Amino acid sequence: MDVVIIVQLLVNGILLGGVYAMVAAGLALCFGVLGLLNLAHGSVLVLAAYAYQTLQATCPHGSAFGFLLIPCVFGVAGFVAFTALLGGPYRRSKEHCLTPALLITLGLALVLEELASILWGHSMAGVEGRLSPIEIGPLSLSGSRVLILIIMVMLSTALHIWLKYTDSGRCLRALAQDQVAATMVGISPVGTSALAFTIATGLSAMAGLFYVTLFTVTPHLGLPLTVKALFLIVVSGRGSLVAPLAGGLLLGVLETLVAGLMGASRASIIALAILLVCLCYRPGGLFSDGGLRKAG
Amino acid sequence: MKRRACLTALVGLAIVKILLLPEVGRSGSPEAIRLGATVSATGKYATEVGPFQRLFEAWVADVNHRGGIYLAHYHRKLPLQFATYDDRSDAATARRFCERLITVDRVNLIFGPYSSPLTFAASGAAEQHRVPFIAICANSPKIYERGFRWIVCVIDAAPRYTHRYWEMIQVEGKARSVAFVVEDSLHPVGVYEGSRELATKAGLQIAAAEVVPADTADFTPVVLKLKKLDPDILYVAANIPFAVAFMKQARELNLSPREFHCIHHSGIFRQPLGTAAEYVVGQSYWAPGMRYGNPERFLSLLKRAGIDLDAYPWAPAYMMAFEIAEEALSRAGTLDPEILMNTLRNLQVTTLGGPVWFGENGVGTINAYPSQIQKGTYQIIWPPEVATARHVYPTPPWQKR
Repeated sequence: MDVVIIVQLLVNGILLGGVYAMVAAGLALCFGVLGLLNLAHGSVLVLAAYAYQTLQATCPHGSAFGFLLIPCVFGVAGFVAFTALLGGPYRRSKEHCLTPALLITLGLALVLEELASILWGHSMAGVEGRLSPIEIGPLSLSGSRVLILIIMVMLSTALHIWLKYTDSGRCLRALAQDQVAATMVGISPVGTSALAFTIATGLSAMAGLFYVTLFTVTPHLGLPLTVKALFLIVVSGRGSLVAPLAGGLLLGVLETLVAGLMGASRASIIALAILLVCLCYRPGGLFSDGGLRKAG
Repeated sequence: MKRRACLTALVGLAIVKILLLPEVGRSGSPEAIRLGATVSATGKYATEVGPFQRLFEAWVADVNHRGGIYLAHYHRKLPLQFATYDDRSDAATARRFCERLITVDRVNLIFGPYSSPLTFAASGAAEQHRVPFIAICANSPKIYERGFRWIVCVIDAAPRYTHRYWEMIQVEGKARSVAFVVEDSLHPVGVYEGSRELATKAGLQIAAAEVVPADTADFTPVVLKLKKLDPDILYVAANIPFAVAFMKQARELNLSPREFHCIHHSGIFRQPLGTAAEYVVGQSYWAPGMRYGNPERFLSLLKRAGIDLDAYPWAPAYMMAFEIAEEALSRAGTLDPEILMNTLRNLQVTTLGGPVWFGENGVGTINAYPSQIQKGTYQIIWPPEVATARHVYPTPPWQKR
């Protein structure tokens, strides 16, 4: 195999990693910072994908508008859902809400899945990607994936800055470190967590818009996507928001290289096996640095 | 006390008799013809046949509106009764509901579920209980290599699925090489194996053959490899969701063979691809303008069921199954399973898609026609006597679609 193909595979692996990181970003914020395993993450992504497809069908030139509107609408819906369904358990203590939150978000996932089936009738969603490929010498890069990677790097940086340098971000980190102490100094656990959940839901929705541009979506894809995102977060290390980006890039590169060199049927299993072996040596996650609780 | 016990026993016996012989009326003849099917109303195949329960119901209503089907053995027309379950696109569920159709609903005839994997599982129940089973969209040779006696299939075996396409390519003599991308699933693999042989016979060089797992989302490594090989024809043997994802990524990376052939290119294929679907060649069982069977009746059933032919291209194959069932029941003149099955096996009937008869292994004769998406509509391009448009080859570059 010539060098150009290997470079091409490497670059496309990095771009695929950007997509993985985008899919995992919302869950990373929820699980890594709030400690809330949101099983409805993938279903939000799927619902947003369908909403975007409908918007595209009714208003073909509304792509940019959709990218602003849909994450905002879903973010608000996330805030309402958190306040109404998860606020109660969170008021007691973060540690005690793990099981109720799991059950509530699982229920929410099933409801959202059914809602998508009712509204869109089991049909597959997919949106025509309109960005032309980028040709650099012998290399061909997908315009959409380059855009996703750029946005993902910007989002990760923005979230990192928010958590480290803003008051609300500090409140969230304080809450993540010690809920009792944070409450004693006047931080509202429900309000602060609701804010994080709102942003996480908006991120999941945004991931849905990108995902449906590159791939296809069915109403039942939600839980498999949640599992994939969860795997990525666990392998990368749940304490940081930059870790899923790094983990996504590594997984993307491994999958693409293995598929290109050894065949597509071996890609997932070999890439995941390599990551699992790595986990044996770094059980806290490959890119864990002690986590948000310490550094943000 | 004794009298009460006797009375209870008699009532019990009467109930048992009623339960055991629900389909037989007082005269000894059945009250209705009981038919059953599982439909993938949910799950991955719902995108292809989700609303087909309505199509079954529209057909049953249509037949019953005309008084039912005349069965000579009972000297009268019997109405159709139809039982259906959602198999959730899952083989084990399809098998379980097929058992239920036989043992609880006591159906006389079963229509198979959508897809080869589900039919493979469900047909086992029909064979075990000796109930006639009409497979519809399930043409993997693995289903028919088991020596089953109680199954017939509307369509031809998967390896011959695109034989008319290869015939066209050979006659035109423009293409020199072909690369295959294959979804690792029963039907696509069956189609690929046959097509590889047919392509070789047509004189084409096989540039590559990539068998890819069915749940693959990212195709970039395959696309990059094929881009380097630059085949004339890129033949995608896959179900629609797989084919759509592949085509999207082929466009993303500017993979431009002279022709894309996606064995399933109708239904929901066009919408997510937009202009990328233009000029893709695939197969169609039927297109308006073909004059076999009773197209008017088919179109009226579609209308009654609220099904759009472009969105659900398998509807014609289901219509052919209905026509086969009607004809077999009518000719058998009885619900005796042995007689009905023998009639089915020896049946020769002209359906919406053309004449049908069944081989020794139960495989039917209906085959698809190559069709190309041209300006958003499906045009049959071969054979010349059926073609509705000329084959556009080579395909214009992506920017000009």
